[in-house]
Amino acid sequence: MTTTQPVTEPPRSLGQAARERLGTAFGPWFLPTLAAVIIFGLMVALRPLVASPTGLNLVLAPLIPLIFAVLAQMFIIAAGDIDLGIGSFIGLANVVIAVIIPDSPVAGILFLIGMVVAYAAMGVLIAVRGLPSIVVTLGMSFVWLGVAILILPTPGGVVPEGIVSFVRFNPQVVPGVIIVLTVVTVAVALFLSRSKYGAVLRGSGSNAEGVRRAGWSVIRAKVSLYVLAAVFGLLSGLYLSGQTGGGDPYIAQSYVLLSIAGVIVGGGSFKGGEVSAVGAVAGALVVGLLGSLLQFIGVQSSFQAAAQGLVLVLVLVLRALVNWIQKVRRTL
Amino acid sequence: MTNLETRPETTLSAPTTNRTAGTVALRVLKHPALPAFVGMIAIWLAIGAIAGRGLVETISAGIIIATFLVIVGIGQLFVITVGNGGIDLSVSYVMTLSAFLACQIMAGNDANIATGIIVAVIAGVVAGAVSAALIEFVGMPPLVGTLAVGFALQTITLIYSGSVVGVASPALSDFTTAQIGPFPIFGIVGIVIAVAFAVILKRTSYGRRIEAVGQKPVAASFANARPALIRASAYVLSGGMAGLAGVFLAAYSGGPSLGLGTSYQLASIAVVVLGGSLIAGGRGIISGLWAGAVLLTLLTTLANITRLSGGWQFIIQGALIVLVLALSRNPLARR
Repeated sequence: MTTTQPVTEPPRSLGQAARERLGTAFGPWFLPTLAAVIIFGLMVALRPLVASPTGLNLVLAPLIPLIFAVLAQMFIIAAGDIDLGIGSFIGLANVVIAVIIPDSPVAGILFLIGMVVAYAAMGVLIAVRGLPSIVVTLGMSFVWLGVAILILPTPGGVVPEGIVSFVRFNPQVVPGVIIVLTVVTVAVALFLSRSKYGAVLRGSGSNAEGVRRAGWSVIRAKVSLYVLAAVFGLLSGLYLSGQTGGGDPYIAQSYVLLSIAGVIVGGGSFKGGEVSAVGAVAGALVVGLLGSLLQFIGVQSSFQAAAQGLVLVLVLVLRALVNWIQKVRRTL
Repeated sequence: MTNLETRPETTLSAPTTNRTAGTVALRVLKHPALPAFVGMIAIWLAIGAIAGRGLVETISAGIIIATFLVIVGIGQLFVITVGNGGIDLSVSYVMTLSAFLACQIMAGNDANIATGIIVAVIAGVVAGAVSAALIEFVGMPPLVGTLAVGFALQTITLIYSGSVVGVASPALSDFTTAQIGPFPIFGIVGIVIAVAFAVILKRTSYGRRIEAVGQKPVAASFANARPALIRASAYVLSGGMAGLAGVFLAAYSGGPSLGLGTSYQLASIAVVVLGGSLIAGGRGIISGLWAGAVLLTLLTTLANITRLSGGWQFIIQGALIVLVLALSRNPLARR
């Protein structure tokens, strides 16, 4: 796809080495985290109540499903692919939880497991046949949406009380959202960047040949990433269901662009392998909080999608600019 | 031996003509567009058998509605054929915005047809140029560049459409449904457009560069093809075609609406895949695209006749793409 040209590395200056050390110390997660903190700070400045435990819960809770969706997308982008079906997949999970589970929990859980298996099969198809993930996941998104509409033609259904109270779990000492946020981020970050298989998974996207030579199956690694994406898609659907209390096939359509934006804003790259869990969560917070901030300022909701898309474009333009400047400096 | 025994007379009586007839038959059988044509005819006959509707009126209604898809699909085909992960997800948003723009300008007046169409196409061309700039100069993946442009257009349309009551010109509306005898004029326009672009793709140096860039960008650049420029031109073309399709669709359906283009995002990709073009780029088959568009349109007709729910229509369309991709031999598959 891209032309690989041998780049002759010039001798590195002292300053450059220092900059690189600084880069590894902060990591790709640093800028998005800083951006999330700044946006949050702006919100607190506008409405001081946001900083209270209740306010924190109100602002962050709607972002939890988005964070799971961004992590799902992150696994697919780590594989070097892109998932255009995650929004419909989450919508289907929501419909199953709101319609099938109340009737028959066993059938509902089997259905959800079937969805994960289907995602794994999709991963096998993409990895083994070398098909473009964009087209396959776009096609499958219509399958998920179609199945969801068959189960629930118009928004409705009732999410079981147990799930609602689990999702809205909020002890008085620490806001529930903070607990979920911390546990999920730490678990995924440790698995992805500290465990052996995490390295294999990231390698399958960035250095497939290296992974193969080290004796690991690239296809199995890719399928594992698709399974992880499906599981996080289900978690996103679970939290979305608990928060809304009902089912709607179209509920998560906006997550397709938002999840890609979250991963990219969070320092991920489309080249595959280069992802950071902390960065992705921070990216999700940036994208999500930006929506809330715009609402605070009184921007119409129809502008919000464009504004969030614009942030994605800006980040990519800035990154291209930085790359270009680095290239120019290297040739000088 | 067995070959000779099964067809002894023909081989003996006219060996040369038979060989050419044989190679022609083989070429037809091996042509990548064949499955689309076979599928199209099968569904056409199925509609006749199930609904008892006249075969002529079924196909003539089918090729009218398929023409919108053919026009958008050709743009999409050029984008996919230049390779490099090329895909245009903004077409549906371009169509909707162009429909609103053109209908506001036409305002139900036949005198404004040309202005309306030109403005719609220009809007599409500008959108395509922005996508091309984001992809080729900023280096965004085509998916993200076109989707970002698409969402921006969607927001523009949402805000702008609130103040517009556009009406298509009556003459243009009549044009999309008019018939000469049993032949629908607009359907024939679709075929003419398809033939014209097939000639452009296969017989002009521009078209050959489109395919060459999709096959081997490095080799093509040595041949003076300037891959980035050729790829950019495909996005501009796709935008313009989507703009044109948007005007026609608005004229056909009586006026613009916010959901006008929605179903064309997936369908425009589906017809390229169904038609036997390579999804990884390098080979575009416009005859197959036309048959694929009629196939998809007739499939919707069949679903409506049998009162299949909307959910099933989504499932069939989505599964069809994945199935065709999974079954197709894809020698140039990358990623």
